[in-house]
Amino acid sequence: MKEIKIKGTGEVIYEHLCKNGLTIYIWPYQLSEEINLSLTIKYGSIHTKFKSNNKVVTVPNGIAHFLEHIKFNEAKDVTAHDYFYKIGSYTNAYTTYDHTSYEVVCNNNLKENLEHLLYFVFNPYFTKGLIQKEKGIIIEESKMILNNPYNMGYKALLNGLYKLDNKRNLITGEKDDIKQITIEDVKSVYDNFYHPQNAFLTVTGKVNPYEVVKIIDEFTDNLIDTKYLKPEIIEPKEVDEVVCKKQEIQTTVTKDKLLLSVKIPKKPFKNISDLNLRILFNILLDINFGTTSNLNEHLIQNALVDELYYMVSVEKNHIIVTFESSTSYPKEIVKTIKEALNKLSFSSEDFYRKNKTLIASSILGYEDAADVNSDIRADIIKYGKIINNIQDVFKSLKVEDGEEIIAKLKKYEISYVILKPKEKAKI
Amino acid sequence: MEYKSIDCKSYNIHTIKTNRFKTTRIEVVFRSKATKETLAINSFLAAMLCESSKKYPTRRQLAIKCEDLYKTYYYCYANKVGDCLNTIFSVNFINPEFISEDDYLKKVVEFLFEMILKPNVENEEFNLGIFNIVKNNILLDIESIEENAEKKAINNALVALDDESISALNILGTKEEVLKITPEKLYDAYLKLINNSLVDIFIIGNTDVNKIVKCIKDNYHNRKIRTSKINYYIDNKIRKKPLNKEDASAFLQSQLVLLYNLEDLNKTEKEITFHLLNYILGSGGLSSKLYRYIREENSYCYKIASMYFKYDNLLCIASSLAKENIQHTIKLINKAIKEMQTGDFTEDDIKDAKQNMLLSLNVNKNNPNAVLANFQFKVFLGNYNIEEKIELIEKITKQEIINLAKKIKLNTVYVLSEEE
Repeated sequence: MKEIKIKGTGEVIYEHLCKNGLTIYIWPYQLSEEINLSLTIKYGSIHTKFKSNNKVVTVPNGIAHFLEHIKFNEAKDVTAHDYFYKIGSYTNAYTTYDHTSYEVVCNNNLKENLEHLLYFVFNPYFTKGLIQKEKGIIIEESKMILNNPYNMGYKALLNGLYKLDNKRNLITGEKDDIKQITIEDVKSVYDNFYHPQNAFLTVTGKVNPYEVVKIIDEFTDNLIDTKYLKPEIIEPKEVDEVVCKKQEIQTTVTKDKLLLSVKIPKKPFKNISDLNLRILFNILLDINFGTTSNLNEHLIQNALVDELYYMVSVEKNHIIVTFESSTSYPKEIVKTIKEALNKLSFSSEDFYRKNKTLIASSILGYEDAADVNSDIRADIIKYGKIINNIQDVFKSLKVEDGEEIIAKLKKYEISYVILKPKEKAKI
Repeated sequence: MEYKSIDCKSYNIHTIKTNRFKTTRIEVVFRSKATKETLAINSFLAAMLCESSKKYPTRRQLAIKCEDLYKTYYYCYANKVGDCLNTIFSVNFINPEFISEDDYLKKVVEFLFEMILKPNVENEEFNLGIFNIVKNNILLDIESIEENAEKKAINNALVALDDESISALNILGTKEEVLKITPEKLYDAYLKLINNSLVDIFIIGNTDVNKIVKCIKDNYHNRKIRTSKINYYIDNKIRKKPLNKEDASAFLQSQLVLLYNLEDLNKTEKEITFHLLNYILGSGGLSSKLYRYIREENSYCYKIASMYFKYDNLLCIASSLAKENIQHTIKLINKAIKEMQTGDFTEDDIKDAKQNMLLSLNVNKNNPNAVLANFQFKVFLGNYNIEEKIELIEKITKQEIINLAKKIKLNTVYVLSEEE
C-alpha cells in the first residue's frame, strides 16, 4: 500500500491497487464519527459514443444517469436502498458529465457496508419492467430540473456555448431521450464501463486502512472475473466558436438575470498545467470581479447589479468562465464584463493576499470525512492523482504567472442568455 | 467535548471545547419575540449589519478585512424558530493554533464586536447608500420566492392554513413592509435589538476558553440584565374539516402540499418519537411508505418530502408531480398516514428507523453547526442533547408511535397547478 503524505497538513492518504484493477484511496481520521464510502465509475452523461470490440456504439442521452437509478435494484423487489437502510446506513448516488458515484455513509458495520457497496454496483440486474417503471420517475425528475428557471437558462447557455460537446444536453436527458432508452443500451454501458479497472473506491473517516484493504481484497477476489473491454470514448473536438452569441428567454423569473460564458481556447496556455490554470484564473477573476474588486463595488454601489458571481472550468480544449448576475441592465453588464476582461490587472498585494487565503483553505480541507472523500474524487477525476503538494503550488505561484495569463488571454468568444419575466405570467 | 456556561450577568457565554474541528465558531445570539411588526425590520437590520460597519463601510473593505484574518467568515442573519426571533452574528475562523500571529484570536473577537457595536450610522441614521443596496436585495429575495415552485407552494399552503399565524409569515416580511422602513427607523430597531434582547454567546472549537472569555469581556460590556421568557412553540389553528385550495401558475410541473396539525405532543414525542414516525412515513428515503407508494409503485414523482416543522407543531408533505396524478397521490398519502395510526408497520420498521436516526445523530457530531445548534436548544429550551437522544431512542415502543400518529390531523391540502 502506498502512503501519500499531504504536505503542510500532517495528513496521509493511502492508495492500494487490487488484483482486479480497482484502486482504493483511504483517508483515516479517527476523530470522525462517520465513515464515508464512495465507488466512482469513470463514466458520465457526456459519454454517449464509444468504440468497443471494434464497433462504434451510440447510446441515448441520459443513459449514465438512468443506469445510476436502476443500479440500486439487486433482484426482484430487492434494492440496495433497503439493504443499507436496514443496517443503519445511508446510500445515494449522483451522475455528472464525466463520472457516476455511489455513496454510503455509516458509522459501524464497515465490512457489510464495503462489501455491499461493491456487490450492488458490480451486480448486473436489469429487467424490462424495471426500466419501464424508472422512466416515469426520471421524466418527472427532468421536469423538476427544468421547472427551475435558472436550470432552464443554463441549459440554453450551454447550447449557445457548445456546438459538439455533449454538455449541451441535460445530465438526466429529456423526456424523448429517456423514453427511447432500452435494456440493451443499459447492458451495453454496464458491460463496457462498470468494471473495477474503470472505477475507484474512496474510504474516509474512522477506519483502519489495512482493515479496509483486507476486507476488499478478500471480497473482490471472487466477485468480478469478467474481462475489461477497454472501451474507447469517442469525444468530438469542440470548436473555438460559440454557437449563439445571445439569447433571450421569457421564463418564471421575477427580474432580469444574465448568464454569460466566456469560451477561451486552451492552446495559448499549453505550457501551464490544468491545476495552475485553475488556480491562476480563479485568483485573477477574484481580484477583478470578486467582492474585493473595485468593479464589483462599483456595480453594487451604483445598483447596476444585485449580485455578480463567476466560476471557472478548465476543460480539455477550453477554459470556460461563467458569470451570473441579477440585474436591471443585462446588456450594459455584458459590455462591462467584456471591457473588464480586456483590461485584467492586479497588484502584487492583491495576489499574495488571495494566495494567503488559499493556503488557509488548504489547512481547513482536512476536517470533514465527507468533504475529503469528495476532494479525493475530484483530484482523481480532474488530474488522475492525489494532489499532495497544493500548499507548495500556491506558494510557488508568482505575480509573473498571473501576468503571463493576462498576456496570453487574447482570443475568446462570449455567449450569453438573458432571462426575462414571462409577460403576463400567472405566477 | 467539554460543555461550559458562564454567567456574565447581562449575557451568558457558552463554550464547547473540542479538538474535533480545525475551525472555531463564535455566535452572538440576540433573542426576542417574533411578531408581524418585528420580522421585516429585524431581517433588514441583520442584512445591513452583515454588509458594513463604521470601520468597514463597504462590502469590499469588509471582504478585504476577512481575507486579512485568514479568510475569516463573518455573517449576520435573522431567523425565526417558532415564535422566537433570533438575530445572529457569527464568525468562523481557522483555529489560532495554525496561525503564527500571537494576537490573531484577539483580532477576530475585536472584529466581530466592531461589526455588532459600531454600525455604519451617522446622525442616528444608517448610511443611505448601503441602506438602498440592502433594501433592493431584500425586495429581490422576497420576489425570488415566486421563482421557486416548491417554496412558493409551501408558503401559500401556510398562508391558507392561517394567514395570521407567525408560521405563515416570511422572515423577510412583505414588500410593503420593507418599503416603509427608513434609515432612521432602522437605527431605532438597532437600539432595541442591542438594548432589549436576551443575549447569549456560543463558542465551539479548540480554543483556550479563559482567553476567549476575557477577549469577549474586553470587547462587550452590556450592562442591562434581561429576563423575559420566550415560548417558541406555536399552536396553529385546528380545522374540523380540511381546507382544499388550488392556485394556477406558470410552472411546468404541479406542486402538492399537505399540512397537518400535531396536537399536544410531549417533549419525547417532539424530540424523538416524531422523527422515528417520520422515518417510517416519509423521511426515510426510498424505504419509507410515501416513497414506496408514490414513487416506486406508481412512478408519479422523483421526490416526496415529509417535513416536521417542530416549533410550528406541523407536519408538511410536499411533492412535485403532474397534475393528472394529484388526486391519486392524495389518496396514497392518506393511506400511509392511516397505516401509521392503525399500527400497520412492523417492529423491523421501527428498528430500521431507530438505526437511521442514530446514524443521523452521530453524523451530526461531525458538524460544528449541528453540535452548536443542539447545545443552543439545550440551553434555551432544555431540549435533550445528542447523547440523551441516543439513549432514549431505544426505549420508544410501537404503541407510542401509534399514539403519536393519532395526533396527526389534516388541516390543508394545497395545489399549485402547472400551466395548462
